[in-house]
Amino acid sequence: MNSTPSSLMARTASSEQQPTLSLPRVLHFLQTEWRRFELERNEWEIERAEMQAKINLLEGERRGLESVKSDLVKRIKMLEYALRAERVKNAKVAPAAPVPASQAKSTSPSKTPAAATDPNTTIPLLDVPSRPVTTDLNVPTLRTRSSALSLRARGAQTQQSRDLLRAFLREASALSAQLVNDVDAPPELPHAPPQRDSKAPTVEAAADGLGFGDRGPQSVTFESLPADAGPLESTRTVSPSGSLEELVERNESRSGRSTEFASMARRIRRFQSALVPSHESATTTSVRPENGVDDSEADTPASTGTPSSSLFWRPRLQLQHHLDAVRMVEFHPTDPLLASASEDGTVKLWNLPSRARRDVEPYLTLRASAAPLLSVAFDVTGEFLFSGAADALITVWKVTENRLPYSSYDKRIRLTHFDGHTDAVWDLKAHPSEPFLASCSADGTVRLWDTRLKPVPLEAIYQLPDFTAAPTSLAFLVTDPSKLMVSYRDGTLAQFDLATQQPIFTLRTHAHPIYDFGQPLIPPPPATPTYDPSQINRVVTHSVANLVATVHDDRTARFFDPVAGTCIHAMTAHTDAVAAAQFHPNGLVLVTGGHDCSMRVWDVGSRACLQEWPAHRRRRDAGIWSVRCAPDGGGGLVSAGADGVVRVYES
Amino acid sequence: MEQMTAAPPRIPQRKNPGTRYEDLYQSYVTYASPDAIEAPFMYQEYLQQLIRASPADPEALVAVPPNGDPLVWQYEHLRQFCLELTGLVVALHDECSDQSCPEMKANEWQYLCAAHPTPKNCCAFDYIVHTIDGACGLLNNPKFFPSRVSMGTPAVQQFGNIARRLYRVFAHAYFHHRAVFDRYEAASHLYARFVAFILKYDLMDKDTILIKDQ
Repeated sequence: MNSTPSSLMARTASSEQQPTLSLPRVLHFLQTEWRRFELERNEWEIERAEMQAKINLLEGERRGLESVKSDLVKRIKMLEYALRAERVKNAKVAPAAPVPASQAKSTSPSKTPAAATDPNTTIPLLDVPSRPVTTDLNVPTLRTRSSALSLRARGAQTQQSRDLLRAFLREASALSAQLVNDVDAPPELPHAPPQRDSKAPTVEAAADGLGFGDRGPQSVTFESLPADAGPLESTRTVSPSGSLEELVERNESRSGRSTEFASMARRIRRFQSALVPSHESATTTSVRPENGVDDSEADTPASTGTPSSSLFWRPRLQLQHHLDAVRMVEFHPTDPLLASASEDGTVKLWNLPSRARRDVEPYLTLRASAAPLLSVAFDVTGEFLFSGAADALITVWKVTENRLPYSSYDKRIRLTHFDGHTDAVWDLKAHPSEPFLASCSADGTVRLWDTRLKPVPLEAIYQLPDFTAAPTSLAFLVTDPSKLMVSYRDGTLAQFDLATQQPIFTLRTHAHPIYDFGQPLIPPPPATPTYDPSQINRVVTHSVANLVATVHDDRTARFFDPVAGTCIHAMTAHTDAVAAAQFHPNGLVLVTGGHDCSMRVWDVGSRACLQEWPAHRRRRDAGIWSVRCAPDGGGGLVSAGADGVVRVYES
Repeated sequence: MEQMTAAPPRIPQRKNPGTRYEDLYQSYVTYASPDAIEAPFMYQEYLQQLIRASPADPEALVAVPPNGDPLVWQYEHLRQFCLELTGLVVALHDECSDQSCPEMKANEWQYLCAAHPTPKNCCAFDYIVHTIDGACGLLNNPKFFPSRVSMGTPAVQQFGNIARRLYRVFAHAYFHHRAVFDRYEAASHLYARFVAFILKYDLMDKDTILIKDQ
């Protein structure tokens, strides 16, 4: 066209007055639209990726919750079964547990997806054929829950029932695991002999096997408790969630007990809400060599199969209420209760909360005398509390059930006091099975008292003839409670027979020279009437084996054989005097605390230091005065320091 | 302060197990001022050393030590009062019960126990025990007293509260259990020190000091 571009533009412009299509305009429009579509598509892609990620996360969470829920269901079922068994036993009626065991065996495991919502049936697990034992799920969780549940049932059940329960729980987990591996073994009723509760998962699983007959190739061998405390064979771990759900599914389809649905559902929800955090924390901290994975928490490359590497302590609570140094702490034998005796003249009783809180106050403060309190002990039944003071007063207190802080002070809890000592009472120990209390005092005597509140409680006095040093610490031999180990200020270790009141043997130890790295050997200072560097600060006995450990002021820890009466080993344990020691109830580690303000965990077999951490502040040459492990073998550990703080650790 | 040289280590200053009651503090060295003692417990150690040396001289005990922080000194004194009141509680244990003193009174004044969510009318012995326990808890509370070597303003505001409540323990013992009070005071001189402490650091109003004749 013979038009100038302007006229062309004018014409196109004029033509654009109406919405007509022209090529550039159409092209422009298509381009913008295309760009817009691309943008939107990118946005959709991003959103889709986000959604996908969220879905995966939720899926993972749901799986975790499912496994937790199945755990809890299992526990509940075990408890119910045990309760029924107890009732049956008491009523002496033929067992009424419905036994669709044959059905359980016969139906093939259905591989339904793990979408079981509420398995509200009870599994009569005793009659399901018991297959070889394999290790169970997260044992720390097992332990915390079993201990929590056992506390609820405390009023109704005795110690043996608790042991029975634990055996059932272990078996339940074993049964859930066994669905994966298919080895047959003749079924047997697991009878749980009274046995010490221990932390190691292999010990648990193995002790379970005491009720099982012959087992398959992957069984755990376990000799009877007192004879051997060596490392145990490890067993395989099995992922529990899928298998248990299948088991539950099968049973659910078979038997329905609608009456218990609602209560079960409620309990499951409660447990779930309370225990999901602990479950998650337990999964992060539990290290089991059988896994072969996640040794991030293990401190030393201990040989596989020794579960001691699975104990790793972290601080949990700091209890600050005392006004002066805390000399001794004690755990209650059954309840989550702590007693701390301090030089400010008070014994404070603490309720240990189940989860870490910032300010924990003692629920009760006991005041017996104005003199510093040096020792505290619980009775073996947990009914009584004994406190020993620097002015020779041993007071007997009643442990009440009412444990609310700032409640009305009931004066009747101060029951009586044991007269007899004439000088500071440095250690109190309750007999592990009989109602006796042993006390040692700076007047040189060890006295045994009968705690049944008789008119004359003094039973016996133990004294080494022609001896002037004062006893510092006591320990009953767990393997033979008729023998008492006593340690003295001049480094003597004596063993007394409780009945004959005669010393069986005495061992004299001498102070080692002090070795600082890079320095010449420093000879120990000579002994004076008020200070002896070979002083044994604490003697502790092993929970299972014939082993006695002492910790000394010359920085060493020594191991003795109480039967042969010889020293097995001596090692430098800390960089300053060691004052606190305790064997862990599982028998695998020794925990020590020293005046260098460090806590150390030693492996009993190899005497290697497994873990070390600083604790407490030093106050005038004193650091840590007392260390205790929780008697139920759980991960509880408590240390009492000269700074007046009681620290609680968990593993 | 540690004096670790190549010479044989000195005798450690702590109450080792097995020590006799009269020898408990024998290994303790006397320091001239809190600076010589290692932190963070230097004020507490110095105060306890002074009390062991001269328990019956209240003015010397409440005077601020050389180069000392008066606020921390007051804090340590309050801790020490809570500690030593254990003796008075033990002495009152048999005398004061909810039959003899069903309410916390001191010579016509009646007090409600503040250790509960709502102030409660505890009996006298309960009030005493709760007050001392509550004071221990407060003095150990890291929110108010996070440090042993320096005091912040929320801390200082609590001194008056604690002193006032502890005074009521003395007042009740004086007015209602006079024999016990006199016996305890003769042995420990605690009340004399407490009054000197309050007056010196101005923690209570003069008219709230109920015990007039001294």
